[in-house]
Amino acid sequence: MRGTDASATDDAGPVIEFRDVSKIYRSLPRPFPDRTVRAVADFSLRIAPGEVLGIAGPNGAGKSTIIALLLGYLRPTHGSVRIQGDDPRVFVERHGVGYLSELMTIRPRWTAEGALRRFAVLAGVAAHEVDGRVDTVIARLGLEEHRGKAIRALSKGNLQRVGLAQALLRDERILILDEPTHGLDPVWTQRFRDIVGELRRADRVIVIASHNLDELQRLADRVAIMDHGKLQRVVQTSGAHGASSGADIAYHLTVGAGGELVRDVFANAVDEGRGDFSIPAISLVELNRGVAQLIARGAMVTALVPAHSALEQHFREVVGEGV
Amino acid sequence: MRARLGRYSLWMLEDYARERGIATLLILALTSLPAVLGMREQFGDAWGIHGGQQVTLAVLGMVLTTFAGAATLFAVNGISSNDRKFGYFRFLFAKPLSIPRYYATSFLVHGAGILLILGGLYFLYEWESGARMPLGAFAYVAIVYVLVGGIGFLLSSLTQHDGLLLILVWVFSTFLRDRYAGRDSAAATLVTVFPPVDKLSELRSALLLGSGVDERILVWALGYGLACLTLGLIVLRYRSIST
Repeated sequence: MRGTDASATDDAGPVIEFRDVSKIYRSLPRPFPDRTVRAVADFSLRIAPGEVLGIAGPNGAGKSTIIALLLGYLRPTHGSVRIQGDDPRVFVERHGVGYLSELMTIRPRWTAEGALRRFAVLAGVAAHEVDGRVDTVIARLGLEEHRGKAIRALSKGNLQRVGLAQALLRDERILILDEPTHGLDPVWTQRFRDIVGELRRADRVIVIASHNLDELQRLADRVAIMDHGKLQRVVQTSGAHGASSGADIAYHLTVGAGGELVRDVFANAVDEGRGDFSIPAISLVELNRGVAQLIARGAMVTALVPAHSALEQHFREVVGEGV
Repeated sequence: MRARLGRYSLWMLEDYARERGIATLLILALTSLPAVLGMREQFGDAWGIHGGQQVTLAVLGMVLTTFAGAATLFAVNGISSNDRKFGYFRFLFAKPLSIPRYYATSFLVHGAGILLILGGLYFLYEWESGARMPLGAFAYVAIVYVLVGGIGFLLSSLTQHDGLLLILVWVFSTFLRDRYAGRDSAAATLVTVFPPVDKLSELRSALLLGSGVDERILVWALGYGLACLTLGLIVLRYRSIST
């Protein structure tokens, strides 16, 4: 896996295009002292139909600003954002998008079912289809027993599922999911991944912003890594694993027998006890040569995995080891 | 496929009733009940037989100014700014929904809510007292809503402190217009740009008594409010809704 350039095209052309986008927040208008914050700087990216794009970055990297620009909630200070050639606000007002916000801002007094009914009507679902659509998303997200509860009475995980349910009320061509598994338990995290898999379609774009690199590695075709408001790298993830890229990466090695041989072969390996060793970044050739030597000398290798996912490796390179 | 705002407006009305209507009803009850009970005590057994209409008008004169102002303030305070403040805009405006259309509908629904509350209480009052209520009161409340509510709508599109600013605009305009109205000075000319809130009492009297309304005042008041409403819609069309 390698970083790629920031373009992705398709015969149908890009669905979403950011071109040299910057967003600067000014706390006070001129001529007051200039206290500006550059939330996004010179961001260019094209997202093709059928693609699942991940956006990763540390807090304050500019992910939420990119999503707000994509929904037309913010206007860029410089550059342009286009969806199907339209200004985002124009596109959203004509077609709507499925959007799960990181902040679950639904009126606390509404019930889960009541909120979904309202959002279905606002999404333009025909009157005779509202009941069916609401029942479908409630069943899909396992909200049957919570449908009559007030939003304020829902747990974080159930609230997150209501948020996801409202994003799926209509068959949208664009889905924007901001920290979608935040607060979900492992069962529903896996279920969410299955749902995203089911939602993949040749004419649909799915954008997922997440801190969870493992999740993005599993779900996204490409991941845009942001830091300090800038697009630092776009990583192709689909079908690739770090070990196949040829890059030097670190590994975890576990041996059932012959542990005393490991440091003879991998001089910098760190013994973590109980047959586990950390091997600092090495090339694939060195790794294979070393493992072959171990096996030839009688060691029993029981596990060998990359210390970090390939995406995590890129992320660390871009953002720094301290993250 | 576009948002079905007509259907959604019923929920807007429900939200208005729960979140603002109850407060409006309380204001109306608190301002009118003492006056009604006082009058009733004064009239004794003659209540509803003698002078019902005069009592009605006397009570209305006292109550309507407070009610129209307070109801309008409750109805438009935070009408769009609350959604930005609490983040409710996030899910709403990802739907195929025009932001100005949504808030224009909300403005209309809240106005209808005020008139419904007034109508309900009118009905109760007429049923209880047997007195005929002048329908001009509805027109007066509607005019106040368009004028003051329009200003409030514009302020709400601009800032999150719209309720406080609306009160300040109202008080400041009343003060300046009282002080400078009719004078031949630059200051008098300047204050004409402030909303004509000082003319509302003239309109109220004319509408309650069924006498002729000064059309210039009516057009000025409605025009001022509608211009502010339109400006507010333009602001909402072009401003960043996320803060």
